[in-house]
Amino acid sequence: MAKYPDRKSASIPALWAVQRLYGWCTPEGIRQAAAVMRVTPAYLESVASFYDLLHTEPVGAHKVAVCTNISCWMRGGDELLEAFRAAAEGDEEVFVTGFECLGACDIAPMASIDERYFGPLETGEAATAIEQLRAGADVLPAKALERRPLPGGPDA
Amino acid sequence: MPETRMLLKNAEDPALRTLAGYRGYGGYAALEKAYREMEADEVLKELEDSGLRGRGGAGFSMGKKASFLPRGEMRKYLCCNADESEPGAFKDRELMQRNPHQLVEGIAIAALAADAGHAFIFIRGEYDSQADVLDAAVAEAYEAGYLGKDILGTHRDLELVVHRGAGAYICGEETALLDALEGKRGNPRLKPPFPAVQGLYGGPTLINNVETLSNVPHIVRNGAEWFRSFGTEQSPGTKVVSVSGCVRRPGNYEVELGIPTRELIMDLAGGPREGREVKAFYPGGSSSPVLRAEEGLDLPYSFEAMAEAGSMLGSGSIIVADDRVSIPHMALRTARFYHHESCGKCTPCREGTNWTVKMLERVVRGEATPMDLDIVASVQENIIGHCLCVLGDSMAMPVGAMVRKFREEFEDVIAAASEGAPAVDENRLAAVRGPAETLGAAT
Repeated sequence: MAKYPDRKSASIPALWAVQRLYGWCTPEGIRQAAAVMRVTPAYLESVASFYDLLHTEPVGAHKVAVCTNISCWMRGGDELLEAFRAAAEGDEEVFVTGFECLGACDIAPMASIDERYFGPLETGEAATAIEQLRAGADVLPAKALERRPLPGGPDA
Repeated sequence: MPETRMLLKNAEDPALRTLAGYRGYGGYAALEKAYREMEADEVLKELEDSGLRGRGGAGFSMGKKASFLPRGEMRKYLCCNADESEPGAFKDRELMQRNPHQLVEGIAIAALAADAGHAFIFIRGEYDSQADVLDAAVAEAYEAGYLGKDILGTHRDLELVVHRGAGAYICGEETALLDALEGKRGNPRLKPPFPAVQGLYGGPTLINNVETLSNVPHIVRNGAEWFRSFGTEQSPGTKVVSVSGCVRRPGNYEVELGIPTRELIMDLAGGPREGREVKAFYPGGSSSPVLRAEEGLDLPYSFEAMAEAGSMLGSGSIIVADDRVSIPHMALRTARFYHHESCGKCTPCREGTNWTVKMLERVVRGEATPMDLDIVASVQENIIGHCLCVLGDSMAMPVGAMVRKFREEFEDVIAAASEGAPAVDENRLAAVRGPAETLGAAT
């Protein structure tokens, strides 16, 4: 809160902290954050319910967001989402959801797995990724966005 | 034509992310020059003379925007808009991930010009790893005395905070961004007053896009005249263009503004797959009216040429659809996005996006009549210009253009679907399925 001229600005960071601690924005966590920030719990709940990344209901420990927006759709984003859903079926620890554009159309079709980007993915890699998540292993290291070079190569 | 790299120069070197690496390539020289040798007004004049236009979508002159801030003793703010959420855009992600210090330096110089003492980078929550990179760069810059109290002993202060959003497209709209930063639901505000007069916490606020601010160090270091030697008269400089969709080498390419669009799509990005043709493309992200291949490919890629063609350069994000992509389905995808992201504050947008989705679903299910297409078109006309922000317009412009330019195809889809064709025509997409053929490296 000290970083902001107005303490209310800390509401999103506070809700992130609640989510990190409890896995989702629990009513108890929201009450605690509201007490520290000196705002009402209802105020923080209104903020939490506005944003896609803040969960006001329980979700699993692992989060997979598959982009189904225009560029990913053209390259098979819908099928990728189905594959992830099938691979994670019945597993409450893995929360799979379709998502709007994640800003990585260069690696379409892609998914954000525990806040890291992977792509371009084949449908068959969904099951592999879920297995790796369960085993606590590195997920699809070769498909990590960070490892991708610029498409035009090094400077001419 | 090769790329012209200014912002992405040396970006292949992972060391560029560190302060030492960035300084090794001449980084922070512009900041030292601005703070030690120049007056704030001189910096502002340099930015105005450069003709740098905002890279976030509107293309407004950056220097002019900064000059709108009132003078005098009051708390002023600078916000860097890093909420890149426009479908098709991923250039800011690349710039922040590969060259975070360039942005930090640009912010520090722009804050000097605007006399702002507090700056924020509002980054979308999904860009978690990029926010980590920025956090590290900001910490290094504080350590080196480029941020914080008494920068380089000049008695000037600047606090810079990296603020993570939590997933809402609307927060990229400048006034919604301010509400989100103040800790509220991200709803847009009525303009005027414009943020330059009354923005964050009621104070004058300069809001600029990541790419815009990343240009600033180059302009200050080399001068406005040098900057104007790139690009066109009305669109000076380079542009990092995100090309995606049905092309062989999707990715970010930095080019001089004004090069033929064909070179970007066909040469740099490799064009569509063998045997396929470009059918249409969004020239500036999903909110820009689509252009047919024959009307758009030979246009220069500049703000003015795209505006003249009835579209816009927007954020500089090209999404290519080849001849297998069904335009009605693409329109539905586009409309669904804006329906999901509409904040609900203004009725034309909240209801208009909802009805557009419902009607386009009827089109692809074959339950619509050609007359319904007129209704879709009129709904779009009734959204444009009738809301606080342009989110509704951002759906209405591309969807309206698709219905207008590809009306026959909409009618074909209605006819085919009503005769029992599957709701989503699998064959139309088969050719573009699967990952890009080449992964990054130049071929």
